[in-house]
Amino acid sequence: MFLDLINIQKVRRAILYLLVIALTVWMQFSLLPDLRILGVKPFFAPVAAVAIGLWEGGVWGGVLGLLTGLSCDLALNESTVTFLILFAAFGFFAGVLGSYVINRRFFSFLLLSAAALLLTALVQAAPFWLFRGVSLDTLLPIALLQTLWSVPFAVPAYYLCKKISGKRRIN
Amino acid sequence: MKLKHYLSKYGPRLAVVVLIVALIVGLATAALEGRAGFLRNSGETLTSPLQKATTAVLDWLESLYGYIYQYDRIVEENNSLKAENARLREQSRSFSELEAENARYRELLGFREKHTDFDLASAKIVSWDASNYTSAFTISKGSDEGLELGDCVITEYGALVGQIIELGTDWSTVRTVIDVDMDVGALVGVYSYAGMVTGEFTLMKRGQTRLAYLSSGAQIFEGDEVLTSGKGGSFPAGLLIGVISAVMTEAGGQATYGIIEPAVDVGQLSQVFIIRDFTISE
Repeated sequence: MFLDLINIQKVRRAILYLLVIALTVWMQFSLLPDLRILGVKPFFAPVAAVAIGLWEGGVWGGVLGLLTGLSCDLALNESTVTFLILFAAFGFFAGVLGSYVINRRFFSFLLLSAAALLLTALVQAAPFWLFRGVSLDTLLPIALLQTLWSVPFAVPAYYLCKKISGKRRIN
Repeated sequence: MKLKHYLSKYGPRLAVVVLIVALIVGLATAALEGRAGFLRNSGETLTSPLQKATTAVLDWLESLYGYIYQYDRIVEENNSLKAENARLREQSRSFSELEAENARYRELLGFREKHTDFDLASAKIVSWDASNYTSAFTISKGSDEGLELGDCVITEYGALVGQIIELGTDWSTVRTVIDVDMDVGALVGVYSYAGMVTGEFTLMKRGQTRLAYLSSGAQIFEGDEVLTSGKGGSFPAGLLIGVISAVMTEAGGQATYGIIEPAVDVGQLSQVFIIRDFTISE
């Protein structure tokens, strides 16, 4: 009787998304923490929040984005709550855009992910420009390369979340 | 549900949740001052074996890659010797790993004899920081092994690697000497001029750091050794930081600073030594 109160499908999806987040965070911080291309490391964790938001809507995207961001904030030394706020916003707005403004096709997701990745890279670089006097000439190439190297990781995130959500794309 | 209604219904709710969580995390981080909180510590403790396993698997894959590459060459050269050759190479690889570790301990022994006041602990690097804006890594030991926040980290030769900035029970985060937030009191040149080693972003990306705030009248030259001054008590005096590779003038033309080529190639480290205790001599 108690089980009747639980939406098993939703719980199953939530668990699977938590596994996706765990896998993303593990890949980001344990498996590929020092994967450098031209001296720059990718930072692809935001794509998990965007993918979940796009396929599950703003609320799921926001909450699970918050968890992804919290995990990243705990794992990285440079920030305390930056990613928590940023990824929750990414998940929420990806959900809103996916539900009302854009379709859920792969290229829409890729553009959305690229925007989120670029914004993350710029937010990471901003304190160095604002408070440490590092020139934009130095910071922008790093931010752009970081975005570029991170985009390929969006591909598995898209198809994984699409599979979990069990939804077909909405045009 | 319409977009406007959706935004006005869920937007503020999510914002409140995010703000509350951010506030809790922010306050907890500020209160802990570098000591890992329950959440972070639990997370690291849970992932620590996984991280060690990942490092071991990656090392194995790396050696496997080298093995396959060399094996192919051997096959081309001499088919009959390939099995024997591969076995010997495998053996040689494991020997050279052990030999390298042995050599590190032998160097350390010599270093220990010179610095009998140092209480040292060794640790392996388990992961590197994933950020492009810091230079830090995680080691396999923490407060359970008697490590403390601010402990100095060196190589077997006594060259400065960095400092512990975050402490868990069985892990610690080490900020390297080239990190932008690193500040170390230093002495340079034959006359031991005082200065400060301070990280700079552009130099960090090149694996270098900077010697600034030199005492008045100080003259520095390329090739001058930079040592820790020991002032402040965080670092023992006399540890090698690096060598001056260039002498520069600040934009205003008033002050001189030096670019330091660190004595340690941070990217090549696999094992480090932590000075748990030492005699302060100022």
